[in-house]
Amino acid sequence: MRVVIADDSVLIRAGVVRVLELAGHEVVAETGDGTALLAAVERHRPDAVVADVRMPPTFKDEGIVAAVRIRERWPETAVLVLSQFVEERYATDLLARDTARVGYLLKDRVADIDSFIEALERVAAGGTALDPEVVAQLLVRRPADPLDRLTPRERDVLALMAEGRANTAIATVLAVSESAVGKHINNIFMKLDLQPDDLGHRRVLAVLRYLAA
Amino acid sequence: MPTTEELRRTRWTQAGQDALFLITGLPLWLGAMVMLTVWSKPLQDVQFLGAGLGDGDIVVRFALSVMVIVALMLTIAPILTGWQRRRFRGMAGIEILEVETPRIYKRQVRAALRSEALRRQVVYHLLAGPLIGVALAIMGFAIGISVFLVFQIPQHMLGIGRYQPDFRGQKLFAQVFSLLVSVVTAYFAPFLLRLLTRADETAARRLLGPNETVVLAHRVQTLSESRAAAIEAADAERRRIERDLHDGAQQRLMSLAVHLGIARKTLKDVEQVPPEAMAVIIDAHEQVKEAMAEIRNLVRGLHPAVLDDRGLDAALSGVAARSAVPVRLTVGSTGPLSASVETVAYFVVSEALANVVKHSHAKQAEVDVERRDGLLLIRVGDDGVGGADAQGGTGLTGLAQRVASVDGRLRLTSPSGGPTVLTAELPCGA
Repeated sequence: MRVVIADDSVLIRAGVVRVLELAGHEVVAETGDGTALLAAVERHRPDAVVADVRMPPTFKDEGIVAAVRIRERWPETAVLVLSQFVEERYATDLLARDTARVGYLLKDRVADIDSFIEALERVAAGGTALDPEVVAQLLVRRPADPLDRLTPRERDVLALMAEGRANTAIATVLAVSESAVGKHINNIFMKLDLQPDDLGHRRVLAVLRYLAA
Repeated sequence: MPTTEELRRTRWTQAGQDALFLITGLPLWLGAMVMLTVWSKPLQDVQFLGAGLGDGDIVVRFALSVMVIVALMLTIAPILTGWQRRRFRGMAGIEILEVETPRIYKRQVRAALRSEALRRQVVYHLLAGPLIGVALAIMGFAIGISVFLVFQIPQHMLGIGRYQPDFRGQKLFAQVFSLLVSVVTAYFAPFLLRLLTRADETAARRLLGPNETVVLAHRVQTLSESRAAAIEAADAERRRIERDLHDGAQQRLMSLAVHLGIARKTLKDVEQVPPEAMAVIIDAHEQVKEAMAEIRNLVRGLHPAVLDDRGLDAALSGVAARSAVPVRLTVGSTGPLSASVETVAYFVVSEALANVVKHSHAKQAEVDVERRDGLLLIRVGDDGVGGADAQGGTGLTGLAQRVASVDGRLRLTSPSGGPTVLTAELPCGA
């Protein structure tokens, strides 16, 4: 996979490059700010972008702005945003259009090499990767709504769905059988009033409902 | 410790300064009197003022004169005050605060007549000042005489003056007595000058400066400005620390964690690696990840960047999610808030939740934030054991101070057995 990375810290760039190369991916460009990132994506058309949030010149949300721009202009490029802090508000910006090919993780997660690479590959394959901390932030803002009808276990399942995990992965994380996960998911669809048409579509809708509420 | 010699020198230097300062006052005090007399005299006499009045209308004449004098005095008082203020600043380094007074020539007659500040100024220019002037004149006269006598007496004694020496009686006694008086006067002159200077300063502060209410209001203004500046500085410091940690320690820790992660991954399937060494690597990797989480939580409590970037509502998600006790967060429409109110509000929620986690044994906490009637209302409640003491913890005292810094109020109800509710009301404009 061809990857462009953006981070104003040389130290962190070097770390990410190592991890990516260890996993057999090619880093085609390294940039230090949002404008340079957009230019590099224009030139290299990478499969995926790994970008920091706080970058020059304002050190605010350049990475998020650039990521949203990339998702608009080059929807086939997967975007994984990394940050020292995750904020649900930035996540909402990132996921405003759709939840495909996008990820938002704490930088800490890069240190868990295997799961980081797994998340990047999942995003590049069209999935979602949301940091559990972002999900926790979204959870504290639940007003009284259909989501309140979910049992704690169903909430766990939905949170993992929002992180972009497949049923097998959810089953592994929660240490239950895959059929049990399927049952939970059906309950979630029912409680959120999602009609049984396309299964994948319902899944996205459930996650969106969960994120947007 | 200054020596006696030095003390004496300062005393005389001071006396010189005082004398100069008081003497410069003389023309201004005299000026007020003179101007009043000179200007009011012809005005009283001009024909139209007395037109149609007989000589008997003395009451009317008197009333007219009084009116003219009052009008004149109210006109020149602010001008004289300005000069006096310059004199105090220039000659004695004393700042007499300026008072805005109504001006007759700007047709603010009614206001000028009612102005308490103007009345006080007139009292200074016509009464206090001239009195000090007179005292100064008497003193100057005494000193003058003493100097004259000091030069005269030896001549008397030597018999070379205009007067013949008279060794026979009262005249000599009178001369010796005069000499004594002159010496005493000269000796005490510095103290008297100091006294007069002080008197002038006190009179000017009381009569030319703003009254006590205005001075207090001014002081409140200064204090609240400096308080705001101090809080601003503290917040700037928090931001700086946050940025420094973000650019420094956090990046180094992350780099370290990534390298340990790589080591752990690459060595995992290598058979030659001793299990102990592998265990150490795994342990180090886990520890550095914990350190990253700890530093992140610490920095999050300082001043999150998202607070500046997206406001209070957005920043509260992070602090609520971080809490070990589950939190339900409800933020109503708050509208635009000042940065200081947002910072204090964030601090209130952050500290209150930290207290819930530490002391309450609660299973659930609730945070409600809304704006009502120009107040930002923050309510943090929990279902814990209660019994929290507003005076007890330093955390709550610090919190109360932060809330007071934006003129807000903090209330805590925490009966034994719970529930505990902390409420903060922060004024945030209508």
